[in-house]
Amino acid sequence: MTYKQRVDTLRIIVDAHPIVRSSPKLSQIVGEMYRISASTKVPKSNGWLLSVLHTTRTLDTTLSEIVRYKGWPIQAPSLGRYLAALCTNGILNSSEKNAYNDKIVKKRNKYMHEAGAMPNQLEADGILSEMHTCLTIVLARV
Amino acid sequence: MTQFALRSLRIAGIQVVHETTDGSDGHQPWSAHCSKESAEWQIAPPVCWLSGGDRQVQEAAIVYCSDMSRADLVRSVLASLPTRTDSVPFPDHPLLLHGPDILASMDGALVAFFVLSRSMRQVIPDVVLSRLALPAETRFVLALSESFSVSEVDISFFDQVIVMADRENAIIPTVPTVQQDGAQLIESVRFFHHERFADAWAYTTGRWHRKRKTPGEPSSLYGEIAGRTSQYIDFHNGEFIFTPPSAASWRSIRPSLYSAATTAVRADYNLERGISGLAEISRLTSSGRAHLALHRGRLPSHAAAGTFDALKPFRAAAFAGFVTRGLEDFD
Repeated sequence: MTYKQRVDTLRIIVDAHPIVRSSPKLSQIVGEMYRISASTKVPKSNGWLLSVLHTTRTLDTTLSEIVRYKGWPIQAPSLGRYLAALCTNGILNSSEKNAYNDKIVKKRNKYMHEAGAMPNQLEADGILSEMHTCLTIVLARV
Repeated sequence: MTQFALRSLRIAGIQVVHETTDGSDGHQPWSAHCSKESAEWQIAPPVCWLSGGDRQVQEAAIVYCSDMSRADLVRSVLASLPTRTDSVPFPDHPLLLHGPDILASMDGALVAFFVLSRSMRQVIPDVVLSRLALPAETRFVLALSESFSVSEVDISFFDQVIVMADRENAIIPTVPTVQQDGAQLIESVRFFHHERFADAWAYTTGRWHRKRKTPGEPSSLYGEIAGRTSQYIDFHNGEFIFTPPSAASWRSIRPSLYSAATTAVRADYNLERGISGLAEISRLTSSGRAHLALHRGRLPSHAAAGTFDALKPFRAAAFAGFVTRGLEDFD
């Protein structure tokens, strides 16, 4: 399996999900996923950083649209709060929510906010695959 | 139109009223006038895949092609999709060792295609896991060559069936309405399956050490005995134990792990008895008289190292109910 197959698989699942399809942000979300594919052409750490950036934007916006569609209240928009809302409403259990907080939210924050922080392939692999899993699990359960 | 294709129409509940020949060989009926539930229509090639025409005609298709390999079948189905369809052959899903052969977004609907190049007994566990891993609204389509025969019970795990009989023939849409009991029953166990996956993955990643609260007996105890165990797999008190040789490479373990996963799914959902077995497990789990057991497995910690998503084998095993640990954790 190639990374492209994974991204293509996720794009099709997201694009055809009834909740996401009803969102005015559908085209932006799908566009973000095409940017993930394009970022694989950028070499080494820069490419991995772009992959993490575009994947996290895909995940953030998709979860935000699900939470908005369901009418679940959140105090402020953030990935951590979307995960909390999904947990409160029985989509994720607390163990899963905590795991995604540790493996996605905290790790991606480092690369999004810290100057000079660049993921290597192994680190990017870990964050990306967790984000992919979180996305598919949530879309299969809502 | 072959006898097999005609039989498929009958399975779908379609009555073939009148056939015509194409005039080229004078033998093979080229088109048929069909009826179902007071609706009547003509089916004949070439017709666009799931587009245009009567809504019932859009719902399902029969494609006629013959003696095709899995790759040929996949190529043929891909070639017949509408031009604006977004599709991926051999998709890579984070939870599935062997998912659909094609995943497509068609007219706003997610469609998973399985081409039948193996026995239905092997395919059904993949379909069950795929249904549980994909959104509930996903439509499942079975594409089979005419050399395979399928039962009405097997078809009920799918929403549509397409029969490949001649690669040069275009697509002949026909009726839908195969029974969809399978989809509804699988839906009834979605919560329990995902609950077990969450537990299996938490145990596998060492994040959870509490004892599971599980009502009733393991559902696998209700399954048929036949085919429960195979190479490197044992069965004890409703739990499967997967133990590949310690020196085995990941390349050699992967087929065994896949075999263990399908064996467990077949037993957990009593798939040896088809839909009726799944229905029984659905009733038992819903009433709290049975639960989906956690199974155990060993995988080398280097499994799939060097490839993208190195944890996928462990995660996909967890989705099939296996708590796996690296070999060193057991020694």
